[in-house]
Amino acid sequence: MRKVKIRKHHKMNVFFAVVLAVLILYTTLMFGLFLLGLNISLKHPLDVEIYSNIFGLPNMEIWKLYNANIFGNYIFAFRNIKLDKANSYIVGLFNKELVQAPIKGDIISCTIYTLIYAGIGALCSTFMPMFMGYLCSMYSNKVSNFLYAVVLFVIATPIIGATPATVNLMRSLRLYDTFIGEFIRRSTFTNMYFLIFFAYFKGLSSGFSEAAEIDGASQLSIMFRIYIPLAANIFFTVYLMLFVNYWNDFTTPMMFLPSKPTLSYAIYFTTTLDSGSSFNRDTRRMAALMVFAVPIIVIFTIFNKRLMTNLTMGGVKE
Amino acid sequence: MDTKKTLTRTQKRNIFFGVMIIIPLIIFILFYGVINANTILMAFRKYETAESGYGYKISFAGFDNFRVVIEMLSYKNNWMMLRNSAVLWLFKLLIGLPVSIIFSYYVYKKAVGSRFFRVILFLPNIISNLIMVYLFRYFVNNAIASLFSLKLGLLDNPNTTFATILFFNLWLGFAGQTLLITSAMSSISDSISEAAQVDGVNTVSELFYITLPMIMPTLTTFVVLSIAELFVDQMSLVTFYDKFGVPAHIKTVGYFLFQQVYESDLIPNTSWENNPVFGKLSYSQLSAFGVMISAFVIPVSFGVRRLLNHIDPNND
Repeated sequence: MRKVKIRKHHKMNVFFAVVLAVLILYTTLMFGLFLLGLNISLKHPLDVEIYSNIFGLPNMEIWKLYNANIFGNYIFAFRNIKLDKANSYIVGLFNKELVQAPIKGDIISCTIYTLIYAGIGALCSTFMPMFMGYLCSMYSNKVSNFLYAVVLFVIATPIIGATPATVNLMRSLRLYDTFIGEFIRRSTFTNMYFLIFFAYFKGLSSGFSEAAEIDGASQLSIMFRIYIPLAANIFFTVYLMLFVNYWNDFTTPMMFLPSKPTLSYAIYFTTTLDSGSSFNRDTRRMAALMVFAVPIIVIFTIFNKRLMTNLTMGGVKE
Repeated sequence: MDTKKTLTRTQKRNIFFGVMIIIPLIIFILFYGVINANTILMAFRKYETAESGYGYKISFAGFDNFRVVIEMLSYKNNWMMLRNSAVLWLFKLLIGLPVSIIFSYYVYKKAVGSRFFRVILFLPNIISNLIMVYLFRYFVNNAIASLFSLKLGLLDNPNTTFATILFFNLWLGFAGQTLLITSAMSSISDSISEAAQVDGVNTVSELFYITLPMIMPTLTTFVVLSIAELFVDQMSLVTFYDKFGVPAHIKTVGYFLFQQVYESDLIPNTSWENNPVFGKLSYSQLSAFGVMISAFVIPVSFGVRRLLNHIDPNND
């Protein structure tokens, strides 16, 4: 039997033609910037600084003159993404203590810190809303109803300027500048992901749970062996989104994990904040930033469908 | 017998529920309850170095911290950070959101290249802001200046700095919004759109009279959440400038709060009262600023939500 493919493309009209023109401009700017960045990152610093070669292709003669190749900036970036400074702060609730924590890291240690921060941080931020979403939807009682109302209140009530109090609390509890402290801070359930998991579990039949209970399964087994595996699809989507966010995030590590510099923090520091650094040349900065983008582009290439799905109340929607 | 069995099951479930929520509740109380309560407490406190050891001497400050914040805002051009935050918010709301709706409608209607543009519009969501800012900064400062033989790049020229950064924020702002709005549009039943087309409704009328009213709850959420962002949005200034060297006339409240918290402490090395140019507000003064902003934003946010729900045709 022959399959008939129905074209669902909308007919072009003036309105869509104008929107198409704007979108083409948008795309051109986006690609143009990346091509410009890539081109600059392959040039010798002097090629840009002295010969003002911004749009042309890299001048190989200059590279040869300095006995280097076209990837000179990338090699430089790998070797020189480094942080070395000092930081001190006071910790403790009753017995105050001065902590002097050096901020040190190279590309390898920063990558390890990033994998810990983004990998485990995203796990905490995904697991807790799922865990509480399951409990509040499957165990309907006054407390779970109250917790649901609390989540709605927290989401709807924007409280601003709590960062000083957060830093103060973390230092008082000696959790500041520790991965454990950061992961605990990330393990909150009062966010929109709770609502997504709540709606998902609410839509599942309680028949599985009753049947498992008759077979003698414990509540813990029912949760981890039956229901949570059913939410694996949403869990992985949320995890992936948060992993990308945390990978790119440099302000949180800068504020809360100063002595465990992540890659984004190190690159931000060396390319932007530290004006005296050897990265104070556009070609080298571009190379460092391109290196930083590669893992995320790989993740996007593999998981683009999952990343671009939209989480709705009750599941994943493409 | 049955009642006893049911009761036992209920009890078991309640005990399990009670035990399981202990840790999440402690974390919530600590990192939401205690922190927000502490923000309010700190706003009325003054921290001074203890005479011995590393401890602090805490005293009641009354409304002193609030007074310092008001003095700081009225000092020279500092009030402009409030204006800049408001301008950024208005541009995002009046230009960014409508353009996102139009882009989303284009993707939703599966017009030419819609799948490709959906990916392109999503890209800024996953590419680090650090990369996007740097590429853009290089383009507007070096490439454009070279191309048009300008003496100063668009960022270096004080007359165009704010507009250029505003454009960047609008340009990247479409990314997240488009995906969510497209998804809301996709939930509209095809039969509604088909019926409209049979009745001869054109593309633009369908957008205004059918699609927009149907996705009103999503738009309401966008607007309400944007109010919360009003004084949090840093306008990417942290990444645009070296060493926090942001010109005073383009600062936003979000940027100011971030920069101050990063550089200050319970007792800053140089207080703002002693040195209004290089001094920093203390954590207590920053908490007072936060309390003032929240006192404005929370009622506005609830008011706008009520107003938008009132005019939402889906609620009739």
